[in-house]
Amino acid sequence: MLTCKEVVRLLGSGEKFTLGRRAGLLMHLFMCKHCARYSRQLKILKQGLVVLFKSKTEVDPKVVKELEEKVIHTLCKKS
Amino acid sequence: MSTQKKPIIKSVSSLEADKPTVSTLRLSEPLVREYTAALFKGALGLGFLEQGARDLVQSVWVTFFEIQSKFEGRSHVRTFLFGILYNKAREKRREDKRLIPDEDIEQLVDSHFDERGRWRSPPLDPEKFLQAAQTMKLIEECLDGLPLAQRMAFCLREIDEHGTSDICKILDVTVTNLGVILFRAKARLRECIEHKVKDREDL
Repeated sequence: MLTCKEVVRLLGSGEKFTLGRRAGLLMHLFMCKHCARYSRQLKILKQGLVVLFKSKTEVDPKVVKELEEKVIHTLCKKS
Repeated sequence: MSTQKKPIIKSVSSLEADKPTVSTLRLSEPLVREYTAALFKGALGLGFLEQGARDLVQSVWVTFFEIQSKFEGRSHVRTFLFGILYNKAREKRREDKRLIPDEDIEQLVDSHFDERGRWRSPPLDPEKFLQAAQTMKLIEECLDGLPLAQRMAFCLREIDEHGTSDICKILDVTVTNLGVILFRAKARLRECIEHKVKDREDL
């Protein structure tokens, strides 16, 4: 049986688990309220970050276009 | 130095091939057009402001064409470019000395458990956690507390959904190391948010 400490490590590593490991993990999460909470927190965190990254990396196509031109210009000068 | 301008090679075929080889990777306008947006977003995701991100992308391309002979077609050109981006970002942004060291984060995580590996006290109620996580400013503050490698790994993995082997090449780490990096990144963020919520409650 996995301990809570081990479960927390496993959840954070993002590794692909073997079937047995996965079953053990799910079993633990099913029975342990605290680890289930932890797991839920990580999911919420991920969703929040996705939204944050999306808003941070929303770029105006015009700005990208300008940047491309500038890069090409610089590279032409260099070569 | 020659003053003669070389024409830009319009090698569209280099974009079609899965792994462009050195010969197809000359100064290629289509390549710049294909990857500049992604690199720019990557730089913004790493926390650079717009002007800084632009300069960073510019220097990535310059370096790319300087060292392209080292690109042996073993990885995808996108992976190669992001590797340069990561290294450039590291040069530009010296790590903030005030960041909490990794050992302290490991200790903090371990401190939640008793000697039998059970929780000493329950983690924060997910509802409260959710409310906090919806406050973008709060998440952003926590994100700024991540060392660059952890932030980069997180960006690539969770947002851009790069494959594990690509991320390992970009950061130049093993798969096991990447697991540790991701664990620490998540632990830092989670601890940070939980801490901020508890601080607020104490007010």
